[in-house]
Amino acid sequence: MKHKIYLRDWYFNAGIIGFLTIAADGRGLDSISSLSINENFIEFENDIFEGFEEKFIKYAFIKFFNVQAYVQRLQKAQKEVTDKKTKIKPEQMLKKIEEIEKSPYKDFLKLLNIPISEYKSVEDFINNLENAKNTIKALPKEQIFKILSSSPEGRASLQNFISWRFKGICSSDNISEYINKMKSTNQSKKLKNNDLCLSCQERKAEYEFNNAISNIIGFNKDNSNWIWGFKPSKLKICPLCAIIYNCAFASFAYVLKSVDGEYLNYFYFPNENTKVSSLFEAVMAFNLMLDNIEDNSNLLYAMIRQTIRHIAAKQSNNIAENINFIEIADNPILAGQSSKGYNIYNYNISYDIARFLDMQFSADSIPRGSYVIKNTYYSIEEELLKLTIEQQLGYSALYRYYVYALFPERYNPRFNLNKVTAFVVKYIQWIRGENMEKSQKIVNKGFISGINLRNELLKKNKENQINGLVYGFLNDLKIADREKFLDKYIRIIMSHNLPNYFGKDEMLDDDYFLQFGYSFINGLMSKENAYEAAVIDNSIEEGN
Amino acid sequence: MRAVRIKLYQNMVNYRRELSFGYVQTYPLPTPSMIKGMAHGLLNLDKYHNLKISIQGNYSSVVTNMQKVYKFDRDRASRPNNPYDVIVGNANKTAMHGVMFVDEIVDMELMLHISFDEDNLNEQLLEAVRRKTVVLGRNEDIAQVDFEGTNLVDILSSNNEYRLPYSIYLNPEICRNEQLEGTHYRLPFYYEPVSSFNDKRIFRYVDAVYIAKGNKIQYSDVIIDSDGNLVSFLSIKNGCLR
Repeated sequence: MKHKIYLRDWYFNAGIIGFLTIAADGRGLDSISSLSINENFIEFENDIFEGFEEKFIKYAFIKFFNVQAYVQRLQKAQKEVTDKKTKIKPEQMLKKIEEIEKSPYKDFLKLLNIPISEYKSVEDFINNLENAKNTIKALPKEQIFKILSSSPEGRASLQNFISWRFKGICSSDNISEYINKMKSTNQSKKLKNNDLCLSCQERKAEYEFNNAISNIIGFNKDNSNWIWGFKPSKLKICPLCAIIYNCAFASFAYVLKSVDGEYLNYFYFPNENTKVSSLFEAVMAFNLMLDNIEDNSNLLYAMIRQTIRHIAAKQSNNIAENINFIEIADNPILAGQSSKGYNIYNYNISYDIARFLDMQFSADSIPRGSYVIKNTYYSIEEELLKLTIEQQLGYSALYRYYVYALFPERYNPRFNLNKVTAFVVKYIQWIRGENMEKSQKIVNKGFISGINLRNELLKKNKENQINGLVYGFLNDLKIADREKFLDKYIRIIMSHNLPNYFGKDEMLDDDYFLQFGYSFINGLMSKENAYEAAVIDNSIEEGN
Repeated sequence: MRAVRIKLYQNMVNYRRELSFGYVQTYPLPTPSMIKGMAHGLLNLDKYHNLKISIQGNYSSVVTNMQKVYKFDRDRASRPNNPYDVIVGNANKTAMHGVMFVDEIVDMELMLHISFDEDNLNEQLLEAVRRKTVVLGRNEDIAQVDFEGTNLVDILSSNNEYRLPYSIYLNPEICRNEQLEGTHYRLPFYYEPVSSFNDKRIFRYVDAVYIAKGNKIQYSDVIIDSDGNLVSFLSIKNGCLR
């Protein structure tokens, strides 16, 4: 029986790509015998479901089994035993083994034939843990899956792990039911309209379209009328659409982020409406790119970079048709008793911004670094990229970074203010449709003026005045008060017999005044002898 | 053949992609079903009258907005700690609120051509557009009518070259002939008759390709209105049905 599935909204599209990824099982799409791919739909026969459940579980395991997280479990036990080496009792070591082998990684080591229970002394036990760590690190995930799925106990343990990991993401428990339903149903008789699936409007509706199917988008009985109608019981979908929705996870890039000391799920999906094949390629290219990233905190960076390349290559000038990407962020506040809540953010990138960012990526001039607020780590590059895409980057962001730099003990700033300033100024000039030539001169002037004043204060042992001065100047820049800034600036440089660098352009143009002001503060805050070290990039080409 | 040409402007509009939820997406132009609904609504028609629809338009950008959504259907008894009291009809309910992310098209300029099979409906539609408030998209998406550009027009054939001044839904066949790259959509055209609001709306669809402005049509015969504007009619009769 032939089935046709059309591209639709981003989540369903993610489901289609996930479905194809699982069905292809690491091979090309042309390996799927009955599959034909058209511009905006795919068509296939029931034979696509042969072995599909096994592949589904395999993909779920490969996607969500985090080697590092598992090794940490062993590491923790190893550290605790090492710390209490002389006092540890045999029963305590047994307890450690129980802790390691408990759910969601139930009996993993036993099932993988990695011995840790045979030891004569504490040293033996510590060595066993060390060997177990190294063995796990060396085993490919596919190999781990293969061993675990080769026995009934292993399959039960796998199922347990996947159910735990899928909580709040999708409903893996029903996937076999959906598949069996698809295999056994031969829909020949015409159905009444009210019995049709709301999603494809072709097959029989059998399963409620609620949290059991669509956890991530947070659909439930309470908000069914935001989709359509008022009766959740009417909102049922067919087993095929249920399978598609449940496969969305396989096309998402996924990362765990620490926020306020708690680990939260973040998913990313690059969406494109133009064609199934190019959407599939975009997701594959992105996932390939991720394989080369060791540090998953750079995921958003990679996602944006991939998107930018895609847009720049396509030269698409139409925002709605550009590839956009979606970030799905775990939100514990939105969660119910048995569900998770997610925020869904969409990032459209206009062709113009894509061109600007493409140049910055090529020149490797996106600032990197971090700061901390209340135990939460924030990445500078991620923040700047998001602000750029949303076209909200401006002096207010610059002000914030200067404040973080001014109070290192509070914010633990680890970034280069020169780079951040240069990036923001470049962006502003780009938006203004002007080149960097004039700005570069003004930025350099401001910076030199700041350095001069700093050196003068250091010479006179007045270093303790610097932070107060910076704070005062920053307040003037925050409200873009040229008169106040200039008043302070003239007074301070005259009192130290320094040359005045504030010129006509800064006097007449708000942007130039702010660029001068921030660069001046940047110079004033520089480390000692920073004049040579912090040379501002003078090699910026026109338009960059 | 005659048609009503309607020129509309909308400031921030969402033409919702069906079933998109949490992050509500928009089509780049309204779908034929939205135009059909607008026309039937303006004419107070209570059953489907066959029509052809051509949809084209330009916009400045798309923004993603955050909207607060309220829901008040839970009884007070089931949520004793909820701080909100809402009276719905005769019942006491509580309220909840959440957030949705909604794509909104900024500064949408639309040019629609609508041609009912019954010619008198075209005249009545022009009259209704001039007198009534036009809403297209969500309930809050009121459209401003450009009266000068809104007229009854004749539809003529042409074999001239055309550079598209607006982005447009084109027939896939023309796109194949012209080798035009665009986004393929299966657009809802109308839903089959329902007996109550709770009945499911099962749509008939038409295939179309969204082609961005600036592209050229050189080799295909096209139709134009009496002022030389390109027209690309979508209809259930001519469209590819599923």
